[in-house]
Amino acid sequence: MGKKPRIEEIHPLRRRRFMQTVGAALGVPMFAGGVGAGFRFAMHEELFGTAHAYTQADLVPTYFIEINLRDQWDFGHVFVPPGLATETNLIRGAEGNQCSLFYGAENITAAGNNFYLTPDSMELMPHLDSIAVCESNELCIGAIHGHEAVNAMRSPGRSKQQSGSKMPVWEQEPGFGEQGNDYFYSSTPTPACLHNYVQKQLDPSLRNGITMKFISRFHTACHFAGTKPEGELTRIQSVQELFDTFPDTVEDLNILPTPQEADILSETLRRVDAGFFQRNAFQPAAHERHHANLGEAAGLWHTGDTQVVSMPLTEEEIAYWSAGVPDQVGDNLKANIWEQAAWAFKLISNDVTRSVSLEFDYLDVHGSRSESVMNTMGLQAALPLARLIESLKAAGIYEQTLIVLYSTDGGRAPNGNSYGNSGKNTFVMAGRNVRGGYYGDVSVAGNSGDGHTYGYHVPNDDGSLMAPVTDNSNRLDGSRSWRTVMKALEMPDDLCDEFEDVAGVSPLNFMLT
Amino acid sequence: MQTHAIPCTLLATLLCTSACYTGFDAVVDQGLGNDAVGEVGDDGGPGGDDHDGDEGGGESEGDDEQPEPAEEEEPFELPGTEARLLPFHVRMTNLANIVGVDEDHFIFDALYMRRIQLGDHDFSGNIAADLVWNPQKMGVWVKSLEPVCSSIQFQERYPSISADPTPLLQQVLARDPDADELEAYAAIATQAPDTATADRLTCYAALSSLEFVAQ
Repeated sequence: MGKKPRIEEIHPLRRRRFMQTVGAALGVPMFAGGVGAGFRFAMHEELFGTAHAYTQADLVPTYFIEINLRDQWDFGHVFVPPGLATETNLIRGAEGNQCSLFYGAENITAAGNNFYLTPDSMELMPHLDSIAVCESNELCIGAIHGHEAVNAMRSPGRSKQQSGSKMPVWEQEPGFGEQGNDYFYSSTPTPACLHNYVQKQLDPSLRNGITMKFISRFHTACHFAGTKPEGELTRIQSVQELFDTFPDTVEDLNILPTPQEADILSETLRRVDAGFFQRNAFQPAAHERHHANLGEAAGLWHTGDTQVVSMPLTEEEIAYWSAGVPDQVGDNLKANIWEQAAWAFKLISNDVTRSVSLEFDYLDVHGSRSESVMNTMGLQAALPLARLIESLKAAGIYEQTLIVLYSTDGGRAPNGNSYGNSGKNTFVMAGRNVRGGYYGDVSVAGNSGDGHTYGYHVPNDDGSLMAPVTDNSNRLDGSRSWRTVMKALEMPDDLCDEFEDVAGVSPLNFMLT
Repeated sequence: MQTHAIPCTLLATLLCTSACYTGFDAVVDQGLGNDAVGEVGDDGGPGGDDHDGDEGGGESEGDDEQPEPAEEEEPFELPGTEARLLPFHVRMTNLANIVGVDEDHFIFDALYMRRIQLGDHDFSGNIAADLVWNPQKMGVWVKSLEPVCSSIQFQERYPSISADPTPLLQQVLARDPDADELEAYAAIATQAPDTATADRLTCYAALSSLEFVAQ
């Protein structure tokens, strides 16, 4: 008979906090790097028992903030590609083939590791050693000049054809419509969903991860858990809903007064609902999913928690997070990106949940992208990122956190008149296991009309640059960036290999420590 | 295998008139909260950028109105992979009928207050209906049922429901409960620490069962 795990000596209601403490201790670099995985494994075995040791040792407690930016976001005023930053004869402007980089060389700062910052992004300077940028990724393929709600980097292998193990990715999105989003099928979970799934495996009492669906238009970002439905994020559609979801009274955390009552209710519903699935000829998966949901609901009916987090921002918090950040620009304004960043920080730093997704947009601009557009997008991306990093560092959890920004429905070419189905498709990583640098490049390939043609230099496996292309060819497959994010989060390889479109794919190791 | 063929070219042509914004014509108030950006916008305004219209003429306006997609088709019908909730207003109507009070009775205030969390839509706030019956909604639903289950109206209509849940279940199910269901509800009475708790849990279970809340 095996040794009894020490975790069982702790009252169930106190296990969550204990596991959080252990997880945090074993996740910090001092243990992770200095003592090594063997020590971590041994500790987990002692605490959690042999049967769970492999799982517990493999699933590292981490935090993940996924920032989805639409419509076809351009980071051109945040991280200037080296080739454009150093081009001496750049034709700048908002029109045609002019370059939509409105800062001259005198205002662009070379910050090392191929980073070139503008006044809009200078606040990122102290954090560049842990920020990695790659814009040479597979382009978006939505029907309307690339617009889509998935992105190959977020769900590699996504396709408009359903085949094999691919499933619809849009089913959990409220009010989903085809226009500007497109119907895709995939088998690869999007990053925040898979992270949420893993963290909930590690700590079943964790609050579910969320996505703040605050894009101003009918556009959205699809989140997709695939074969790991427990990873589906809670969709938050309004600020009030966010506040209601994370109430600030203890009573609201314990709807039923005891865990026994929660279990009775859960078990009763499991029994009576079984007949519903039989009578209505649902597929077995539907019943299984409901069964799992009821188990999770029991944890919500009585959380045992006594700690609450007040989500509304104080005046001091508003002053800090909002300073210099332009308001959302869109059709039906829902929440500013600095507010979303502040709420994400509150949830993460209080360990309420570990997976938070932000959804934000600058409405779709074509024909002429003026300086104000580029400045606004630059400030909206750079300042909240800098403050998230600064705050996470101050809270002592930056080493456990990965932030990823995506140009979710594609990026842009440098051209003033650019659409999102050519040029760049960007992801930016910051935090855990990230090796700072701007990887790949964009340069002037020649002159054309009122401006230039542009060359795109894709990074080799060692980070060096390939010869440039001037069309949409030779971009990095979306599976590369997906595996890179997963490796930064220390997600188990065998888990990632379960998904056919990313199985065995190498991450972009040059972006990782 | 089911597929969904998107008429890409046609769709793009038809939809781009409002899906895209060009640098032409009308100026939209950006509400930029930053002086530097405001100044930058002076060279032709913050405009020149986020205006409506298509590349060919910019005739559309800056609202979120969507054109009727031509020949748009749903990709496929859900083959029963997940239980979906009844629309919120339908659930409320059914609930009021069960209790025998008007839908605007104060015992439903908690439900209406949390209606968005419970999946209702609010088109004025750009909030779509969300009918996924996930753990979060289960939590909020049960919490919001507390004033209903503890109300005089409910208790007078369904006295001692843990001892005899049949009258309530007949209303909830619109049929007689079967033996399995009665057995499941009877188990509540044997497990709960007291009758009041058993009554409350029976109410929560009946009014949260898929037969009552789902399509």
